[in-house]
Amino acid sequence: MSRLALVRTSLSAPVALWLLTTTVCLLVDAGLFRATLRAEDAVPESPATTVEETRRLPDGRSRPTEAELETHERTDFLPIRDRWRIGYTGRWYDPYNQNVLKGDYPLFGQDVFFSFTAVSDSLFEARNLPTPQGASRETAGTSGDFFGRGRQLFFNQNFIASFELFQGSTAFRPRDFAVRISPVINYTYLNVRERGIVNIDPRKGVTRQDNQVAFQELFVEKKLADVSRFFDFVSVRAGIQGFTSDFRGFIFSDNEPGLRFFGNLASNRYQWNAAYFNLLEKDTNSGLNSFETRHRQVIVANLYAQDFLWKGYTSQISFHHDRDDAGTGDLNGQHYDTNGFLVRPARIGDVRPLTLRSYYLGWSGDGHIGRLNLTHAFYQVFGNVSRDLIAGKPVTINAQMAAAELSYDIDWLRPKVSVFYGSGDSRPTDGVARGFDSILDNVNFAGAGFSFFNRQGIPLTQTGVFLVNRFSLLPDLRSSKIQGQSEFVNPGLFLLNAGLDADLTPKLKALLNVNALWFVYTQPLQLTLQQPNIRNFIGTDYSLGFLYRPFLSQNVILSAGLAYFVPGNGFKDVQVTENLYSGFFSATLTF
Amino acid sequence: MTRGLSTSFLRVFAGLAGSLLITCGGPLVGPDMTGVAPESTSGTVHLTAAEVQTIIAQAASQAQAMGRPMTIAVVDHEGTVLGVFRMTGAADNTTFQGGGSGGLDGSTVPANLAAISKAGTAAFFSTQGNAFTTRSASFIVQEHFPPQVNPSPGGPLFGVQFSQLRCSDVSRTGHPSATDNLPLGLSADPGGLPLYKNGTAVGGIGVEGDGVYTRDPDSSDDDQSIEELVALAGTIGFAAPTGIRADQIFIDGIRIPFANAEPPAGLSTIQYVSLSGTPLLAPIDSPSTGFNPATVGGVLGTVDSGFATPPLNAADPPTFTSSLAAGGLTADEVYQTIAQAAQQSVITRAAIRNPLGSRARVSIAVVDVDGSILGLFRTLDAPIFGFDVAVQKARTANFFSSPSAAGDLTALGQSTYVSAANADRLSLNGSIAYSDRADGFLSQPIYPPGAYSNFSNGPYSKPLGTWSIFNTGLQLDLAQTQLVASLTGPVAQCTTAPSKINNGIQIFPGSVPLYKNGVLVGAIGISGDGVDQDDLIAYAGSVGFQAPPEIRSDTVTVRGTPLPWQVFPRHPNL
Repeated sequence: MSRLALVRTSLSAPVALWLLTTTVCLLVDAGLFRATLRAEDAVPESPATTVEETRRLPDGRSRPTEAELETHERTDFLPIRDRWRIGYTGRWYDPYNQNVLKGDYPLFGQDVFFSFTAVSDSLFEARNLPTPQGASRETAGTSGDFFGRGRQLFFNQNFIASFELFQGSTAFRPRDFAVRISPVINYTYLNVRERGIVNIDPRKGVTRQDNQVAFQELFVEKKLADVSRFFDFVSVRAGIQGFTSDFRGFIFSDNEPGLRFFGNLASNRYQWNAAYFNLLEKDTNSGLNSFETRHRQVIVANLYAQDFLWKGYTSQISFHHDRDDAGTGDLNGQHYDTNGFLVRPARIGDVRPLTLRSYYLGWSGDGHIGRLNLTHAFYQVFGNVSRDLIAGKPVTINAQMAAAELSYDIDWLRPKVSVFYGSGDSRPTDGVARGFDSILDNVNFAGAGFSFFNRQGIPLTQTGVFLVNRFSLLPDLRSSKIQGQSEFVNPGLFLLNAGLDADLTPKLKALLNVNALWFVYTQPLQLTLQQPNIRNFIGTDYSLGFLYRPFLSQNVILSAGLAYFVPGNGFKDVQVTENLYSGFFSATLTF
Repeated sequence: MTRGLSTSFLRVFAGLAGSLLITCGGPLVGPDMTGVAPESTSGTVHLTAAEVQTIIAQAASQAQAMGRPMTIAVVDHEGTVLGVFRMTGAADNTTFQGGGSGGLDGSTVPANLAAISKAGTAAFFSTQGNAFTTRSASFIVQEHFPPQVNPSPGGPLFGVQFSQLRCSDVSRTGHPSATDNLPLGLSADPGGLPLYKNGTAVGGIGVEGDGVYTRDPDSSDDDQSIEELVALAGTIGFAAPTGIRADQIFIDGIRIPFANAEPPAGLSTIQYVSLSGTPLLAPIDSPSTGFNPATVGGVLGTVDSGFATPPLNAADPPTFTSSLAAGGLTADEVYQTIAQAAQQSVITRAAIRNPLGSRARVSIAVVDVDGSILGLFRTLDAPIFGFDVAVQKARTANFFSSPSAAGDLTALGQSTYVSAANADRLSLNGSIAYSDRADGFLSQPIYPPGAYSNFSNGPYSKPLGTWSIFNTGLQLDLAQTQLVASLTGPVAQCTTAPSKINNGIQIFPGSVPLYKNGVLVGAIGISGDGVDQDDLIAYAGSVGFQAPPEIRSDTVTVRGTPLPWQVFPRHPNL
């Protein structure tokens, strides 16, 4: 659980390259842990977690004491100090059996446990993205054409360690306290075919290597109170922690420092969060946390109701508030990323520092009604921007998002259909911003990390922003999902998806998705690109993914994906006309 | 919530319907809406002396209301000064303040010359498709684009301030450069605004009086300029249509500033005759145009009789000039080249014109290997500044690509730049064909453009600290003596002696040298729209006379950075 929450953060990088989410992220996105991880992330830690981590028998490292042996010599019974000390099967390096490093029996006393997790996460990716040649060209003798060669190779390696000390007890009782620290060492490599991509300085050529050390978790947790006889509780967690605010990460999903109160009610029928985050700046190329403040605060409150109306269906209402004060907090009102590109304010429109206040009211749900699996979400956004970059004036926000996915299990097959709508802005220079944007989405929807449009950060070439950011669905014209600011003057998105998840064998799962995507309104693109008649159809996105767990455990997970994007008229109007692709392979090894 | 929901679903269906409607259509080419109104100074639309009086009176009234006396100038669309008025108490002089040192930076000139330059800048930049001010000009000529973003490459029109000079030999017929070009070149100092009548760009107003002739180093701070506020008052009744103002135009996704204020409301205008001050030039009617209509390659435009023989009928082609050099371009080849360029311009989406989808309007110049003008054609409504700049660009490409480039520079007293080029192992002996994009690249104070550490100036530039838009390096050093001399009397050319670059060099993209059988025969230069558009149109014009690929500037690497050759727009014909 801890390591999953840890690596789920989407990693990103500037310009054409956004770090990948780790493989685990992909697995999560792919729905492998949909029912568990996403929901658990969002809801309070349930006592079940403690049970999971402690149910195994001890490895017997603690021998009976002299006194116990003495007693044994006098009686037929062997009194053991506690229930943990029955049996002995494990080794310290064996996570499958009783192991003190895995919280299987107490480190101190009867109920203080220690858990250690180590993950190696490797990603290899090849892709073809719209890439301008720029002025200083890598290859002499090419034509003056705007677009150059778009092939890219990308490698990302994360080494993650997670250390947790917690006090817990029985199956249903929440943990009394916990301390967790999860450092990450990252290495990234990017090779492109044109200059000015890996860095704004053309001397930096076409290859970039970078590394980073980050803390993706660093928190303490304390149970404050029991609120019923059935182990309903109120806890608080303070520090850098992973948090996904709804079932699919549509609005906010990240590892950020904050203070989160959470708990449950009515025998865990209801679960709630009330969280405040003071966001950290992200490292550009790894997407991991840096050690500087982002001058951005996020408040989230949500309430889950299990078995709401139907058994097996969980409904959620939520409130999000984003206070982005980068415009006043950043030095000179600006921030440049590691590679020299301006990310705040975005290099579009007025390029003026801005502050932003947004308020999201949401209703979402996840689960099944009978045999029909259902996920849905609706958000209404209000707020204001001190001076919107594209509108060129102060704007109020009035935007909507709606999404739904239906699926049906037939033995080993799960066919599904989904629809996504993010409102667009047909009047980009009026005083109302009507394009939907998230706070920091990391969305698991419509093929997620396997689909091209979701997985790849596609630059809006000729400008300093992205048409769509890596691991986002929203064509929101942000400079960067992780470092930029929300932009509510955007074309919006309408998406239709048909997919099929197939458990080919117990070890091998295949995910097939076809997405068709449209801009809702192209006026924001027409304005910023000084180009008329940009059409709406973005294109068709075909993707195929595989997840392979050779040992039927989460300790070795191999995944691979291939996505093929056939541009529609709208994409061809503003980007390249050729078909695009991305392919990746990742290996996640966990101790 | 309920209301939000229903709104949302409505939007879903609206979005869907919109998608379907639009995706059913084929590719659309925007209607070319600009250039349909009469050209200014055409005899039907122009500024009259009475209107000039009104404009000056409005501006002076605002200045008086603010207690800040100014010098106010009005020029017509082609640069004829229509009136200059110095209010009582207005500063006589103004000082160049570009943030550097040397060159013109720090020197002092009469304020009326600054006012004329500012008025002319707005007039020369503005068309029926775009209304630019000196604030707009400031945004696109600095070492960064946008100016407040660092690192970033230089502005798209980096160096354009040193054009339209009175030392230029490219003056329109009936508009002698000695008096009607812009004494200080194009201005980046806020306080110059365009004037319009019924959608036709008819001129500009320029105001000087705060004692400094400068640029706006940060477009994001909404700083207020007294000069701009005064000029805005002058535009009342003659204001640019809102739909074509610079702030409705995005270059590479970035909005171009127009002005940081609106014209004052409720201005109480003092009659011109009651103004307190001195008319340095009493208002006159705008004279008739110096351009004659002509058609090249089926594209309607204008020529000036000083550079081509106009046809009797607008639908007929003009007559261009043959090179006197053996093996040089013939008049037919000049025509062919200009026709190719003109035909590309009418299918190229404009970068700086509204409504969206308007086609590029440009000036097209072909120069001989000695720098003389063989042909010069301006498509309808192309901004006037391009007339001089197209020639500058063509001459610059020809000059640096010439076998005698090093010697020519030395003869003009610029041997230090030859040494700098040599230090960067740049050949100035004709072995490399330099586009103006490459020459401009080498003229940046930050080399390579985009660098933010461990850099120095390009070989044709000055180092940061010294560099400013008033001290650009080789460009100004070639022209400074004559530029200064031209402020007090007529001079023949911008270089100290007759040369291949008589109106000075230009250091932003839009030209390529021309070759016949591998031998340099001159160059083609384009100016008037976005620089990528200029590059594309220059490319189209050069077909048949292109530089051999193996000698183009993109084969050369300087300090780890390949030089550019040309960059075309994204999907130029959509």
